[in-house]
Amino acid sequence: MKKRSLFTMLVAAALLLSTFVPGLAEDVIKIGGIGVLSGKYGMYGLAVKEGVDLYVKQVNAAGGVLGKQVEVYWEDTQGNASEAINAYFKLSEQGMVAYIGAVLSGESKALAEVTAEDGAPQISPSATDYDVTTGRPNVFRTCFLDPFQAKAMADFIANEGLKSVAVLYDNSNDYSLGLFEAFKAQSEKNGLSVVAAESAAFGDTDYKTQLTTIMNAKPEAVFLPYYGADAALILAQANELGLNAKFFGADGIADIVELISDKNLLTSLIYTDHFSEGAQSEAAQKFVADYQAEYGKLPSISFSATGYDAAQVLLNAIEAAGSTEPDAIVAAIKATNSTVVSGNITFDDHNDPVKSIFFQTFDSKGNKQFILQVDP
Amino acid sequence: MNKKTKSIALNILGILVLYAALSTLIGSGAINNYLSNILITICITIIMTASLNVTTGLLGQLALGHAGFMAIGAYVSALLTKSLSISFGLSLPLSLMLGGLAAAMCGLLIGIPALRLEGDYLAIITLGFGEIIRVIIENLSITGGARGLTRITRLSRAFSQDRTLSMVIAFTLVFFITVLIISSIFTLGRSRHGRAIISIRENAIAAEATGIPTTRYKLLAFVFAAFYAGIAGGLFAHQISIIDAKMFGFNKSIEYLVMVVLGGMGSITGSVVASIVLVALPEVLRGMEEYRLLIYSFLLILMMLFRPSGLLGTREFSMLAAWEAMERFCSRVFKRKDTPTRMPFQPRYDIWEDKPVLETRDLGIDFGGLKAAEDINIHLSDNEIVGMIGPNGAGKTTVFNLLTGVYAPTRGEIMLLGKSIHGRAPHQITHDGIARTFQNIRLFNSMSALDNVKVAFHSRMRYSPLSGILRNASCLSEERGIDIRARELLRVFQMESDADTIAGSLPYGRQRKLEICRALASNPKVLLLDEPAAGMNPSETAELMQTIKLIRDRFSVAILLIEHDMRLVMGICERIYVLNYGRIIAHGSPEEIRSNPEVIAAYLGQPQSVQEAAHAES
Repeated sequence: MKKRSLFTMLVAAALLLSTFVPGLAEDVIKIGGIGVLSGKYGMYGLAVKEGVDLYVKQVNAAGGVLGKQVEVYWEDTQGNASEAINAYFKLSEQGMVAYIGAVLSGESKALAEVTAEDGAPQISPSATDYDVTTGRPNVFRTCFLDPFQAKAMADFIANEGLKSVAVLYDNSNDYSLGLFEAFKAQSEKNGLSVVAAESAAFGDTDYKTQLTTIMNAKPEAVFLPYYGADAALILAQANELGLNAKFFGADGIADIVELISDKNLLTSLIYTDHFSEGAQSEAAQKFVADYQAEYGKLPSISFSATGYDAAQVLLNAIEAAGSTEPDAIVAAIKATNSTVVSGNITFDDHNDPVKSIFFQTFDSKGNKQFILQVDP
Repeated sequence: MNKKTKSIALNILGILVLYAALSTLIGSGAINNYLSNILITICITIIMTASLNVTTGLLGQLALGHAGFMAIGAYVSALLTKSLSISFGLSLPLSLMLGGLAAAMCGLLIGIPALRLEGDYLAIITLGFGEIIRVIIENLSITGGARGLTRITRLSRAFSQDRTLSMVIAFTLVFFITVLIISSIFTLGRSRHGRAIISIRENAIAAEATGIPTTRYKLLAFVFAAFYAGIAGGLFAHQISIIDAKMFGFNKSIEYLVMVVLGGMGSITGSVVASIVLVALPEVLRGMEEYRLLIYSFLLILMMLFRPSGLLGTREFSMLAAWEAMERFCSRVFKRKDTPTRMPFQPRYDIWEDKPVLETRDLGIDFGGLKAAEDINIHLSDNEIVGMIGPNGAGKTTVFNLLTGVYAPTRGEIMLLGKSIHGRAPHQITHDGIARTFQNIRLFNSMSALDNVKVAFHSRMRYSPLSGILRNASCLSEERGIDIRARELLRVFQMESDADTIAGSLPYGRQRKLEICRALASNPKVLLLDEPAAGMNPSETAELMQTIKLIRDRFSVAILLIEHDMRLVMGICERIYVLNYGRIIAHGSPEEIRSNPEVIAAYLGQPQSVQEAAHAES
């Protein structure tokens, strides 16, 4: 009894104490960084964090923003929407000026719910779901949206001169479904014939039935709006069945490299990405070099670039606004028209970026190969 | 009484002081927005854990899909507040209630088939249910599919433009809903319905034989738990304002289950403490987020090693008196004046003259090809003590199980007070007037002796679960009456001093007596005793013989007993039936049986006196 109550009291005391931790001196601009930093999707959040931290470090070295140093406070959400809200409540008590995050679409929507109530500026480097910014004048993003990349892919396939296309998608997954619908609409507009549209349920590991149907329809191209883990299975099974076609994917497929055993299969896959290490622009090349110098590896997850961009857009806006007032920052972000590492960026009425898209493929060793950058 | 009043006052005071302290701190800003939200999360978790504890702890059934009910409550109430165009102050309580009812409805639908099963099967069905709910929500368009629902009105912002004030109101609402729910679980747990639910956990077979409709009570507990989980879901939806089906997955259910286990299965206050600690701890150790499940598992292993029954086991903290306080409060509010104590136990003294009280006609049952009993024709008259003997495996207990409805007979009929009991469930037969004890004692071990007896009064009581929660006049007067009756009954058996002793810790002989006592509490016309003297020493047996005679004299009941102890059988039985290979081979007075050659042959395979046979047996 004694011990137990002592323990609860300790917990309560610790909780109380944490509220009285003194804030740092006021000559620092505080930015909240919220997103998934651990678990299954942790690598995306960490990529964002590396990009943001790199830019902030460079800005601080060059004298900071409004003459002040910038500090980013990171909170891990584990990809959990309610944790994202908790993280916001925690950070907002510590005087954050603006927020970068969240990483996944679900948690970003949750975060947008609460930042919108306070009008706090929020930029997500990686939430590709349409709804995130809907009706939220304070919420922006530096990645393109799913319909955008699906359309771009349909255009790309048409430009390659391919005539018939099949789609295999996951009808219980938002991401997959959204890509499929936009892709189908644009393909039909481009005169591509969609000869087969097969769906599989979440968690399926055997796609042979669907692939056989697709094979019988003899498409020249197969669009796979999947994440890498599923796509790796699909490519291997398609190969087993002897399905000969070009495969196309979206940004979520990028992590397939670590998940597929036969890297040769990757050479027939082309996908859209937010950034490419092989991008030709000066800003992009400088970013790749700086990133490699800082972290000793290539920015292979493109969200490190959109994270870098988010930090740049946000800090430029604060500098331009000349204040840390939320409304002034939001207005300045909205007026952004600058060249960042993933191309030129402006924001439309829906606070979505109008920006470049990158097409990539792989060589037989699994290294990413830059194909094309399409500017708006 | 004085002590009681004091502790009631202390409990109420404790809750009010806690509330006053927390709300002032929130109001003054010392507890900021972030911490206030954690407090609300704690309250919601408490409701979830305590309600799961009703199923898992009180009822003793493992349920793995509790978060599914939370999901239903969350979605129903969120959709309602989103679509109703009335003020939030009105639509919130309405939607919470309807969310709870929707969850209760689902609990009913899944409970009806599932609760006929037990243990692992129920766990698997509830597990499936949780997943089905998640999949359904993900595939409906009204629930927003995989994207979930967004822009749900947020509690902490809905009530006022002033954020602090709005937060104080939100906290007040959630705090008192939690207090109400926890108190209602307490008061329900202490009513006849709660006793019925706990008796099922303790021993389902004995509960049924004592007259508890076990299926109905399993369902009641399950539906209750679902209802509260639905309300918690509604609060949760309006706290975080964005929900999707993945939030209510299997892991969530397991998290709540872990809290229940850590707090102690059956201890509501244990659940409260566990919820507070396990919600607050990860927030304190935020940097260790990813290790949360690891910490849980580690705690669980430690707990299983050092305190297998959880933090508080089945015991309760000092909330002991909160229900009494409710009682005082409610009696003042709802009662016009003191209702007289209602005595629930009205003994039947109708005379059955020469006609038998219990009669079987060519009764028989087959187990596959085996005829376990055949052509059983027995009859019992009022105030008669009849013995049933026979070698092991002769079918004596089978006959008992037929008489009490545990087995349905293949042939023949059983007439009780002139009416057939064909097709009646065991608890209904108990109600009709046949009570029994078991060969191996089946008491409700962790309940007090008094509560064991009270469970058997169940079918004589009338008040509803709702009045049990509110502890209104009809509940209180019946409870007072039953308390008097139960103590009276214990006094007859000189067990008054054991009233508050936990049944499982009574000495063997007293456990036997208590079981008889409990059987009598259901006011039987026929009492079946299955080897009452088994395991007793000679002096205990002698005492038992006196007790059995006393029962016959005082309770006007016909007694049929199975016994191997020939001294007892020959000493008190007026007539004896002898069974062998499922048939009655002899019937008559003790003297006749003693000299019946067929009986002697059955016992020893050769002619010899039964006394010697009996001697050889004991």
